[in-house]
Amino acid sequence: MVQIKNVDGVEIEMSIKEITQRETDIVKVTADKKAEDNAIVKKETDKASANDKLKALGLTDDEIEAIKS
Amino acid sequence: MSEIKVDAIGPRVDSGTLTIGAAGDTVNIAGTAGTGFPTPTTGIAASAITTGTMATARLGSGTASSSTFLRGDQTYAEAGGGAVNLITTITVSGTSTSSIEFTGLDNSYKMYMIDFTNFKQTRAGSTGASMYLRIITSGGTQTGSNYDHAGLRIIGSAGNGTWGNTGQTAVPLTPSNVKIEEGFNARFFIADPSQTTNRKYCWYNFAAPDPSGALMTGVAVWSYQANDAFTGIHYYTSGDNFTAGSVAKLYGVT
Repeated sequence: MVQIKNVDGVEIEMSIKEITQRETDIVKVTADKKAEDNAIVKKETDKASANDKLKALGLTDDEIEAIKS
Repeated sequence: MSEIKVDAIGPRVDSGTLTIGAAGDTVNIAGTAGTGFPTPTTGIAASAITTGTMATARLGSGTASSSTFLRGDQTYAEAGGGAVNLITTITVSGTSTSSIEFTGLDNSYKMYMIDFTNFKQTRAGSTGASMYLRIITSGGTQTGSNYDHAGLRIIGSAGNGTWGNTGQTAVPLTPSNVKIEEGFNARFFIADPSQTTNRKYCWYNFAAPDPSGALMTGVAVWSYQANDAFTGIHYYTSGDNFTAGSVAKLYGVT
């Protein structure tokens, strides 16, 4: 499928080099998104684990909230 | 002063020429001008001028041009204050446009602005940061790992946050949780793109909904890790295309 770029209001067909760059960008964005999703999951997991450990030490939910703020 | 009283004066032959006075004479006409009045020197009511365009020199002193305006004291003068001049408009059409470029940035203006109006992408349900920008220099669009960015986002229902990174291959225009297909509105500022003395620090603000539909706004700064003069800005979407009807405009600010 032809890929278009609009330069100053004029539509032109993307060159082979530009299409190759686009494919590279897509691969990078996909990898970045995956890394970002993994980081979010890890953060949530770490948060739950820390909460559990604090409770195991005898802290109440209110006390845990208090030390977080 | 002698006086002649007649009902009409005309040329000697029909459709001929009637001359009153001679070059250097002053001819005064005291009465009220009627329709089809010839060319006297005084005594014409402004309301009698019903056709043609008044010469600018008859309206005021000074130089009349496309950049001057007529003041109340009947003097042509430059417009005061600054101005925002529209340079280029890009309206996306079709379904295959994945990038847009504004070129021609130079030292004509110390400040350029780029407005995105209801910019959308074709991918439904998208929540990733998939709109980016890169600079264009004399060497073309720069794709190396030389872009830094930092931003602050404010979300109505889900709290605030920051995003940023260094040494990236492009500048992501949004944090990761933006519902891009709903429309992205933004204003970008590029200050002094031609200077090569130091790095350029550019900024923008935006408005868009987050995936839940909550209102989101944000402001971000970005910079390229070199002093190259910017000759243009390249925007692209990764993985899909811009939606037809998306509009971007480049302005020069004086």
